[in-house]
Amino acid sequence: MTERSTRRSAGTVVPTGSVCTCESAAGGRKGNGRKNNAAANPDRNGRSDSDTTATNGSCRSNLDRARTRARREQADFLANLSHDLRSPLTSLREFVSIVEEGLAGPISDQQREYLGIALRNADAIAEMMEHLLVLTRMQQESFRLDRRRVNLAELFQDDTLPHEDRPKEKDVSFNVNVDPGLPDAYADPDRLLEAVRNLVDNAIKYSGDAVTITIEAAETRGSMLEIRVRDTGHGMDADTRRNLFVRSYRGSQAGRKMLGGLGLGLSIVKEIVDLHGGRIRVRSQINEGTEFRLTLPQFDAKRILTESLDEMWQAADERGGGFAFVHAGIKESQGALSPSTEEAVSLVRQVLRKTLGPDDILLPEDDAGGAVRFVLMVGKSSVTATVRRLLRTVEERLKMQSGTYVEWESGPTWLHSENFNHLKEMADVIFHQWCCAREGKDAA
Amino acid sequence: MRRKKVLVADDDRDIVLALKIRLEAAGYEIVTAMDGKEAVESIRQEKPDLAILDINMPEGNAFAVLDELRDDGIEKLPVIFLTADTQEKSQVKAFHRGIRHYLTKPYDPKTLLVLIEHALDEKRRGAA
Repeated sequence: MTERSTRRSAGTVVPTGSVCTCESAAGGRKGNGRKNNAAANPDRNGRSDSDTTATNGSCRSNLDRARTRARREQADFLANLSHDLRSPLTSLREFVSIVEEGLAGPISDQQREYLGIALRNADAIAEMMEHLLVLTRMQQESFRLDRRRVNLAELFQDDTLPHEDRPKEKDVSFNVNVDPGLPDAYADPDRLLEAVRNLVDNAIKYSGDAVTITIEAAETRGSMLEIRVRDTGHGMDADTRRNLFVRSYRGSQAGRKMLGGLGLGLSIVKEIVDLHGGRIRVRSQINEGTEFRLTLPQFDAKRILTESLDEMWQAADERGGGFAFVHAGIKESQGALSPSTEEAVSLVRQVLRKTLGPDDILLPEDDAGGAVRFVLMVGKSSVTATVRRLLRTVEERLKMQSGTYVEWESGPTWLHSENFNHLKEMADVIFHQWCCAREGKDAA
Repeated sequence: MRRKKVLVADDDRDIVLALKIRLEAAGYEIVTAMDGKEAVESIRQEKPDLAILDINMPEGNAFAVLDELRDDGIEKLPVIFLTADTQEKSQVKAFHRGIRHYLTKPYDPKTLLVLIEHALDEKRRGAA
């Protein structure tokens, strides 16, 4: 008898006769864009902890479950704490700032200088808190990446990277060198930008008066893409470098000082890369700068759909029952999408992410030919009703605001089947509609 | 030309004071409220040109305030949500209610002032 509290069990069906009554520690693959419930993944043969015969209560997965729960509770705790710290921090900064600007009466130069120092430190706290909040949110159960087809050259254009609050004493130059012809990545563009921005921030921090930051990307084997962020800054010693991603590093004085600042920002980068199923590596030498290499998967429609189907099937199997495709579209009769429709699409995407449950999947939308198609796989029919309502609301608002006429390409379609092969056939049809219109030669 | 009147509603006394100091220095007339109920009364009586509302207030959060004032023509009042909440779902909810201006704490005072000008400007041009 499996407990209902865990959302996933292993993809392999535990044969009757196996004694272990614990939930499996496995489920979902790492890099599926969301947090796994458990610490362990199935090994290469798809075996997981639930295949271990064991007496009640002594399975390793009990421990994993407890560990996961503790981690989740801590993430929730930290997220709430970070959130609550915002108001007092705001007041702190505001009042120091108000006095420093002379709004509470004239102040001497020395007073201004000291208040400036206080403000700078308040800003440092604010930045650390931001990082903490971001990091803990990503570690929470409910976090999901919003992965789409991303062209890296478009993402890393010069104007997406620079900072307004870059220290003025530093001379920072950027060198973005990404071939627009590279295959697209399958990534959450906002998170990816965030990761790169964090690396850039660190590069600026840990450098002298002038620094050059280079951003490049290239294809690598295994249908991956590699993003390189290189700087001409201080670099780091071998000890620091080797321990960069180790949680409880207690290295040299210099190393520790560096990590104290880098710590959270880098943790975020690693978290983001892990969620994408990628890898992060670093090369560095003292006084010779640092290079970070992030690997991410390329956008591969067929692979994404197949993996999603597998996941969906596992979840449905565990729940008992089928699942459904929801296939809806927003289109403009004029042809290309207007800004207000794009805004609506963005909103729909945001709301859909919030609406979906842990077992639902939203595929990256296709926006070929002046229409935007959303394809979802959901485990509950109530979600289709929500989607239908949402799209209708959006349609009405667009009509009201801009007079743009929005056409349904095809309304939400509930297809329910408990026959996996039948679902695979339907998936093939949708797959062809979804990506082959654009890719032509990739249709297979 | 008369000074523009801005309502600031937040249950945090310090934040209300900080905003009052800043905005008065920038030339606005300030009215304050410490909870949802006071905010509703203030808007009805004082008829501000713009309202800055913290989302999570007692006695009615910002959404409840907007609901309560629906019959008073609240749609025409420029509103800025100021909040510690960065969760997307609040932003989405705000969008649904037609709130375009959303600022999270800690806010940059310059940004807030620009946002206020922009919102008042929008209203003046009849776009809000």
